[in-house]
Amino acid sequence: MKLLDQYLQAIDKDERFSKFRVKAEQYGTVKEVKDGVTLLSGLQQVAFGELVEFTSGSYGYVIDLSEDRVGVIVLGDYLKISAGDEVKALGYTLAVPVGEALLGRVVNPLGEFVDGKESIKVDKFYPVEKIAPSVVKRKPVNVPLHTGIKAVDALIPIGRGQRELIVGDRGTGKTTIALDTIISQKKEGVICIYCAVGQKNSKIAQVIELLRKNEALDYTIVVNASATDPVSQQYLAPYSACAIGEYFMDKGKDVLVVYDDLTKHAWAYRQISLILRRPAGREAYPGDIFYLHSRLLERACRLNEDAGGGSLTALPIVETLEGDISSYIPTNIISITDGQMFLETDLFNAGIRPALNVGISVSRVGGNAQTKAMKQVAGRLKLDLAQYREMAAFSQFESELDQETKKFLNRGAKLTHVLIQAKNLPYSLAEEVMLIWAGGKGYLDDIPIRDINQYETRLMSNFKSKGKQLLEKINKMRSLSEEDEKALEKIVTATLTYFKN
Amino acid sequence: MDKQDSIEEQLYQYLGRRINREEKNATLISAYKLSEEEINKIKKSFPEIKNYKLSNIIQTEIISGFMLKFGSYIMDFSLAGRLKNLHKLFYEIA
Repeated sequence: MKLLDQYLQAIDKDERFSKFRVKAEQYGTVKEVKDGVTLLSGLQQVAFGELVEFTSGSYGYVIDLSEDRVGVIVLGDYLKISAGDEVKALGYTLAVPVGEALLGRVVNPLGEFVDGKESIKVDKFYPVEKIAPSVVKRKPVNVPLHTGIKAVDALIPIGRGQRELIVGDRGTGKTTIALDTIISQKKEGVICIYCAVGQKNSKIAQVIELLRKNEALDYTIVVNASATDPVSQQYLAPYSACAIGEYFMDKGKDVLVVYDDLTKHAWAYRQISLILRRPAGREAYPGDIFYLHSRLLERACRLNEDAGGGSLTALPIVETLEGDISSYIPTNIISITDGQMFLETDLFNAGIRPALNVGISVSRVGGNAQTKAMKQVAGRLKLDLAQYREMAAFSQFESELDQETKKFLNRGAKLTHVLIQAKNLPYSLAEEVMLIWAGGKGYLDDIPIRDINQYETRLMSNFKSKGKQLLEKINKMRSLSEEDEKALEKIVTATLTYFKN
Repeated sequence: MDKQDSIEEQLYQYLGRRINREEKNATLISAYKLSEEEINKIKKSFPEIKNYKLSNIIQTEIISGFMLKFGSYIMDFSLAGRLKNLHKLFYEIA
């Protein structure tokens, strides 16, 4: 009885019950029901992007306005809608509930909780479609976003407020890079949002389990529009995720949003456009497919102090077919983002994971987003790897080459091996710096390639036990002083001698 | 684009415009047939529909009260509508 009394009290207090008000609502009639899209007549004053409600209880989003027809995509089950049904306009544009209550939860693009746990009432709503902050409100990107992946932090550094595209074939480790970045943010105070568009339900369950195991769920929100969800929700999911992120950004926090993946988002929008009979362009995509992604990714930015000082970093993921990054959607998004990470199947199969092709991957923010320590060691690394790539074709003639070339090839191969990393095992800044420093100074040149991994593990454990102070110092100061280098040298050579025996 | 609309579509649009222009219709939906007096009272409280042609439709599903439809707008004063809102309210609070 107590529970019932509580409910009754809450209802009494709610003003929708005590103050009964009727207003003129717009209504329309369903004329046609297509796959997820309905065409209505009436609704003469409805605005673009407004929400409507069907008699079956589903909501709809107005996406097409013509003289006598309104096109509405159904944000829910469209099977219960029949022609002749009445539709009411709700008078407000689509907005998604935002707030700290969403942290650690799984929501759908409408903001409803779908993880089976209790539903929390949220009072703040952010519009799903929003114009990106103007140039005046922005600040250049110069604070690094630590991903914990050696190859990325050294060669393709990401800054807070940047958009970095992760592109590659299926099964090359795109989601893994994004998840490792999320796991790395544990002590960084960055709010993470993982937006799954058109993914398999099993994959999303795996992702959530992985985040929970690594204690990353406390600062992460999962926005889920899986392959079974209506196409309208798959279309809106990235915008909802961005709106949720903007709430935290406006509060001055740093936010990371992963869009996994935008290829399926483009497919969902193509489906809606074709059903609405909009003219089809290249590859049957509608004419505004570029605007679809550009308006989403432009909302990722770094705000200046007057606007709160927060930032929103976007990591869109795009899947290519047969490594073709010159097809329509990848080229569109490459031109929008501030850099790309290209993952190749050949490298993946050869055991180089993360399968980053550092030759054509780039970060247009680059060194501005690196800590001093990393900048000191990464310059050497870049040079060595570039020389290695140039001479890679000669590696088959190893016996006939001069000493210089052999040295370069050896160094390059060792460094490539150093950049290999197990998945879901992000490194701290100091560990990355130390490893790359050791490689750059040539301490690994004499170790056979197959033993490099072992050496790395041993060096790490030595570092964590004997060099704990040094580790903390580098992590805190973010730079490498002369005495730091001397201390590093001691530990590295000590491990080497131990290893050689 | 207009030239490429089919003849059928153009005829449809034209007829639609003619119908909308000719008479302004308003529909009053009630649970039982309303008397002249009641209809005049309603007409007085809604000055917007003074010059509209009012037709009275009976739908017992609305239980009591009435719904007024004019142009593209609907005003729901029925008991069924109120109960539906209450249902939604209960659902949200619980």
